[in-house]
Amino acid sequence: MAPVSTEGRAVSPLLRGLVCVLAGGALACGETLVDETYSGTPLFTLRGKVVAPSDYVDEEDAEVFLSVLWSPGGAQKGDRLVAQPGATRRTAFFRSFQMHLFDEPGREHLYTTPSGARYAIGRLGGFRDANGNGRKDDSEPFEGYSQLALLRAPEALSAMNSPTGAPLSAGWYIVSTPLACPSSGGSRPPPGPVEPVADGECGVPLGAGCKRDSDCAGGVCVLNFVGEWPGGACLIPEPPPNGCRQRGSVLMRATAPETKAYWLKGCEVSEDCGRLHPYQCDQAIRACKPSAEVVVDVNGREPQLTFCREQGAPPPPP
Amino acid sequence: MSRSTVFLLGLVLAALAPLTARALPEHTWVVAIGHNQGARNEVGLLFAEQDARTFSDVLRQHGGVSSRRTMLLLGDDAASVRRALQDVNATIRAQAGAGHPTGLVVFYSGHADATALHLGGTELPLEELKTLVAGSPAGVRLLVLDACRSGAVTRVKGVNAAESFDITLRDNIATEGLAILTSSAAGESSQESDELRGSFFTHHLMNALRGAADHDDDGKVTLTEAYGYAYTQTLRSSGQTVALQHPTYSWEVKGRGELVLSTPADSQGRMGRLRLGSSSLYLILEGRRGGPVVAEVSPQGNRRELSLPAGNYFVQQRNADEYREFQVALAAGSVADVTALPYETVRYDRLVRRRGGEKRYTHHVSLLGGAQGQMLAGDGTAPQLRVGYGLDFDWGSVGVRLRGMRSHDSGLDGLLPRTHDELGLGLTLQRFVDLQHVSLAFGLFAEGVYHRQSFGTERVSPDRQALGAAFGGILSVERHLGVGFALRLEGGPVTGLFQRAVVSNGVEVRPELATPLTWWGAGGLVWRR
Repeated sequence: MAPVSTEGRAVSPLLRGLVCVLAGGALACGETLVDETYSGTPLFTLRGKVVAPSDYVDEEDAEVFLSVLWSPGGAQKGDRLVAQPGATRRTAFFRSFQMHLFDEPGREHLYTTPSGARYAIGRLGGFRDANGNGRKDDSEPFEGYSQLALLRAPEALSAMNSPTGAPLSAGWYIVSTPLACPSSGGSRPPPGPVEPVADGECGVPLGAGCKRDSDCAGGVCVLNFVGEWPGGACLIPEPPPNGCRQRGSVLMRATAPETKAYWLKGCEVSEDCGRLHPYQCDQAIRACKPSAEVVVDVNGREPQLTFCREQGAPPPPP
Repeated sequence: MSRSTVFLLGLVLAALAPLTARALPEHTWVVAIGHNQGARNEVGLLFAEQDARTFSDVLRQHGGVSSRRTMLLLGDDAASVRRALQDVNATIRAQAGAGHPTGLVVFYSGHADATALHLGGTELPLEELKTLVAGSPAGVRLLVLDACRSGAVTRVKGVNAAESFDITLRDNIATEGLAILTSSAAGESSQESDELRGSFFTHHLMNALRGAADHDDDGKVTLTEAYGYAYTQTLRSSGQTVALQHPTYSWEVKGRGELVLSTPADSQGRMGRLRLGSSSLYLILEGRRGGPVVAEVSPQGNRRELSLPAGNYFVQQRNADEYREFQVALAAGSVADVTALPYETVRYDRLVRRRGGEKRYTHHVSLLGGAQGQMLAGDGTAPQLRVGYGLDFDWGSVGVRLRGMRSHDSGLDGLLPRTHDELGLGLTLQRFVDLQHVSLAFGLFAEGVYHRQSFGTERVSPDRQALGAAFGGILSVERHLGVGFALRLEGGPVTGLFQRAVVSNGVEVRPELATPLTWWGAGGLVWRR
């Protein structure tokens, strides 16, 4: 009897289709799949480290948690800080950290200026998870804060509305404090001492990396000035030895009683600085300086009650 | 000629035929010719000579033909056959001269073409054969040709009928004249079967004479009944092979009346009668399961009796959704009613798996619900739904299945709700082991998987789509519930294959090829046909 094969004809197209699907599957093509550890695409990334006096650190458990704390009262009233949900990260003392922010600050975190502009300003706070539950409890107070401020402008701010006292594009910023905040009445901050005018063409590669003064063509190579300047930076001291102050540069003075002062490269955005982290365009003074490294000092002290320079105080220190 | 035509033919014959029916004359000679070898270029047959032997036996047992008037020519050449037919005609002429009603039945099984029988390298022209039969002095002349020619290695045999073999039904059934039956129509092939150990046509014609064709339950099988049965069953059997086979029927008759070829109800000696139940298809094997096939029959009428030699038989009744298997001890002169005997019910899927049924495969459809362990951290155990279709063969079961699964997760910080949908389409390969109450199976599956991850959040996290694969093992247990349904529980290990993001500090840093291993389990219903 001749063999009969009807089922083969019926299933062959189906088999061919399945082979195609399986081949595609074997290639495992398409986008990657993510698990519970994935949090999304970060909106902004903070980099820094946590420091502390030695008596604050348990050698066997150097774990510390960081949270983003916003000041609903804006830059002027920084006495109340509110933690942002989902913006807590585990790290360790004296170890560099990277903290991604995936969420915009909520409405409760934003400050609305008298003219209706909105922004959020805050700090990083550090706490120790005493009960090990992975989150902050009321019994686990913040024991330290960052000196630098985190600033989020959902929309562009005018100088009158900006806590830096200068116009600010929409974006995320790390800024040095205290800030030259406008007064509560919306007026410009009171003028400080009369500063020299920078109007020269000095030929100094301001802000460029250096190892020695000879790299700076008449400027000086600064490695430490109100903190470390990684990789060095060419600056012009005040007063300049040759009397030339580079046009567009910004004068930065050390905190009293230090009397050092240097002319820094002026900027509008960090790309103007041409340097890698921790250099950035610090919107507090609109100058290039290594202020992108957020240092959280866990020392048990309360943070400043304001992000702003006191009325009548000298120009902003670092 | 279709079945309906045959049915109409039967009605017409019944209407025209007188009530009287006459058996073959007492002085009927049977010449049964069988030759397994045809022309040199034709493939040898296995059962042609056996067909001839069976034909003569059945006519002797059930047709009342004396063994003294039976001539069996097996493997003889054309000259021997010609001479034998001439001798028989001479003998009949002498008997006819003495006033005895006479008959001549000539049966041939072997190779042939449109013009001649092929007898081991010699040829006997069909016209000459017809002349020898038609010109016989016998009052009733019946020529039965189960002729074949060599085809492919499948031993397909055939005859291209000449004009004289076309179906022409003249008048009505007569008791005197010439009737010719052929196993296939012009241009068709005749076939023999290893399972039946004979040709389709002869097998069914013999069963007809044993009683399967007794449509009117009178205990007699007429030529019309025998032809009608052989036609239908040959068509059915050949329909399962490469080509249909339509037996033909030709008459040159005088007078009116039914010609009775056999009287199975009156069988004597070592014969017994097997009474079959419903009008199903029956397979009757000699001895026990696996024995030689005695008959594949679909008994007609209400009596449904088959006259067989006394002995033990394995009877398989093939119903629409199951087989019933009987073991019958048939005593000489007795009637064994299989409906009164205990039987074992065997479903088609089990039959296929044990290679016992006529089906080469059965279909099955399944609907199962279940769960699967997590392949991505956070997915957890997720519910899934599986729909499958498959075929059960004797060597295993193959199938395709569609699987849908959905899992939810909210992320480690609880702020990134994630829905992961999977749609898998794959192949399964299983091997069943049938136990008394349940069937166990083990096997493998492979599938292509479409993944889609969506995030219900205001975070910047676009949906993700990917293709992957999954491979795994299948362990299943089935319990038959009835009417084709079975309860199935299954499960096993499964490993996925897809691109996974390596995440550091909540952010994707690079892709990697993931092959997580987990488990799956499901339960539901399977329907087989």
